[in-house]
Amino acid sequence: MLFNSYEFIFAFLPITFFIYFFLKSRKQNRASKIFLVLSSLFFYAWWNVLYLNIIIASIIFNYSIGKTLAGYNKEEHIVSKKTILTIGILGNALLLIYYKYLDFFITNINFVFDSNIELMHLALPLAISFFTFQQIAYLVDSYRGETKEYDFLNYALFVTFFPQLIAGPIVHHKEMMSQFIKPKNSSIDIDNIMAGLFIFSIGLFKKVVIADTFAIWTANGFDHSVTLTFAEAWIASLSYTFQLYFDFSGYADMAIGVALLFNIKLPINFNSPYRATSVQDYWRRWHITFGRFLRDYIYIPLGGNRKGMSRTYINLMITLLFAGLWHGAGWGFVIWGFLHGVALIINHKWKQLGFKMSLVLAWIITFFYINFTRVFFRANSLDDALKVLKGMFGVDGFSLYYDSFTYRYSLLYLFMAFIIVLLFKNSNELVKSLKKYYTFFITLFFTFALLQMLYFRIVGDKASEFIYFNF
Amino acid sequence: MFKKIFTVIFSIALAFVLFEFFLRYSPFTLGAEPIVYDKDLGLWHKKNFSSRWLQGCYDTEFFFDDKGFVKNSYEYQREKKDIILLGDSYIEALMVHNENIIHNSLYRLYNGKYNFLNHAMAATSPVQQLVILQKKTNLENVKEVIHFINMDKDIYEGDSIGYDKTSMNPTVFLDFSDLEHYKVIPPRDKTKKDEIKAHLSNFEIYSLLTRIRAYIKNKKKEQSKESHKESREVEDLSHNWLQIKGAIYQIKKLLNKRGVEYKVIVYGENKILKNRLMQFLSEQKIDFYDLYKLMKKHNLSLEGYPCDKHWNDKTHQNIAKMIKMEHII
Repeated sequence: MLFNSYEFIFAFLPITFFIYFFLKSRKQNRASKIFLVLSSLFFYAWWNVLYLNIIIASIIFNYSIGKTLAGYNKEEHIVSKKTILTIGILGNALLLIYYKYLDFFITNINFVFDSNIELMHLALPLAISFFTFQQIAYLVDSYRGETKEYDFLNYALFVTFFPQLIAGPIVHHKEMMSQFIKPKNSSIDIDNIMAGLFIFSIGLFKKVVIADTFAIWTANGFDHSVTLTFAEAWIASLSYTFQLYFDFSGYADMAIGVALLFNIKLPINFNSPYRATSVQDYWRRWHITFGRFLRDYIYIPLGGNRKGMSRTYINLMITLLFAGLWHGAGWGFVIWGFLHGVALIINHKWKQLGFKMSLVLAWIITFFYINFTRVFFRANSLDDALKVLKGMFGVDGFSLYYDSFTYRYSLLYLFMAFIIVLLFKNSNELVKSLKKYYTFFITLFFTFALLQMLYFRIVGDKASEFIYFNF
Repeated sequence: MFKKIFTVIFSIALAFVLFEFFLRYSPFTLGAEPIVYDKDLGLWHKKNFSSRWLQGCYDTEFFFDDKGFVKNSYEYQREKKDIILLGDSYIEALMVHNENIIHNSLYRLYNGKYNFLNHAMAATSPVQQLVILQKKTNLENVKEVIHFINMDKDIYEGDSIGYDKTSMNPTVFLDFSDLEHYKVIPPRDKTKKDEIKAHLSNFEIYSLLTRIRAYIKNKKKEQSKESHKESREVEDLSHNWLQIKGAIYQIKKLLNKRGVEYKVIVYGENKILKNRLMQFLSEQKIDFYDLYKLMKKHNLSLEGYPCDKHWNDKTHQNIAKMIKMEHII
């Protein structure tokens, strides 16, 4: 079910909200949690009921491994703790490989060995990367003895809680479970509801009004054009850079807002990433919970920066290549990860050598480098990526001509997007500063976004999906 | 409390105003209504008008000329003979890129030998198309009229019975007592409601609302499609047939008088209706062609848009090719 669908906004969310708090008011804590888990599974199954068994099996498997790790006793177990953890991680990895990467491997094997192995063409179960990595983190923490929660229901709720289930934020069990048991979170909190609706309405607006507008020019440039002029290529690439940000941060806002209705505070996932003045700074602001996962469960276990400079660079590169592959099985994602790895290494070296740069120049280089790497991230094939890059670098000439019908108003919107991301407060800041005007802005953003959703329903007969649902 | 209610009402109103601006200045522009009240036809294309036609599966810019006809993508030349294309929305084709619509495709295929003119209009049947020929078309320089008749729709749209003056758009009808005699049922007078509608049609939100209405209507229609089909089979269409036949007969008469050739291209899924029409055309010695058969014969595809079945750019080009291959002109 999509956050930007009528089914979610007018049926699923209010029904779940009222039944959950009704059960809470009757002191039926366990029943309320069971209800929330079942609602979340229903929310997940709305997309494809056939994949419900995958998420349930994944939860049972990881819970069992986690519990074994947490209660591990040398004398009682034949295998070592590390072996159990390895089995757990491998189980998750195999699930991901089978559904997400198998066709990619087969394609490459066929290419290298000129073989003809048939592709599996499996549909990617929704949110598989998110719930798998969330649970791997749980296993690692259980191994480290950092988990305290061994109740299956609580665990299931931690994984399935619908606001964060599909596209994050990737939450940590510590920050979630304690909130579900806090007595003060058991009753309806008007302040949280207003703040939640406010953030949700901002997210909805970001998604259906801003991101879906840029989506048109992105698709025109990346998917529907054979060649692109200099201006068209820049419009297409910048459109995607903004589309991705408003789409994903819009989703994160909606997730945070919905969770807040249930008195649950999810971690923030974005902090004005396009204001970053270095790639390192960017990774601290973009998809923050994913960055945290990469740092805690990949980079640091690899040795982080504790084993000398060259190992640090290798660790950075491995982490970023992994980040690329996490997003999808394709060479475009690998190249994207590689380019970010290279940038981070240069960034480290730059700092180490004590070089300085003006903030404006640093911002320009960072922003346009990120925009450049996004081309590989978005393109459906390397040929498509090259088509856009050729245009951007003026290989086919520096013509400022652009198809005024296909890209109409695009320059105006790109200009406004720059203003918004650079000068306006972000959602996290607005929640604090606009408290007095919640009613006004909730109604304004909601009405506007609902009208646009109506438009999509009439014109396209469906709500548009979020980009990160594909990862 | 009152302050809260006022805030909510004010912000809703503001959202509507801002949304109107957003639609106007964004790629989501729906465009103003392309039609306007016309005393002869009921509704006619706005003159010198251009806007956008958008559905889930297409997004085009359409153009009408200074008389309200679908615009040519080439310069009209007086010294060349005109070929007129008549039909409904399939031929008017606002969803097809202007340069690919049949008349413009034909112009290219014939290397500019004739002026191909598109005099089609959506939601019309041969009855209203006869009125278009009588009132809008200049037949002075015309060599030939190619009339596309859509038997899935035209049989139902040419009859004034069932037309509700109060709720439906103004439309002209002809009431045939036999092929020779008919009475014109002019479109209803322009009402205050029509005037208000005309003003409102300049707003994007109004276009959206009309589409919402059409969307709901279509959904309802889809739901009752099966039962509707069954009921149609037992419908008495004799009066409808008289209107269609009368209109075609009068078009033939009008064109013969002016020395203009008249050809009919029949299409539609309903074979029974098509065969009945072709039998009539044969009796009247009017040259006719079964579009589906000819496209199959020449191995040309006849694809429609997935969202509303209107022909796409390729099909328009293919039909033009077929017309040339069959020497219809």
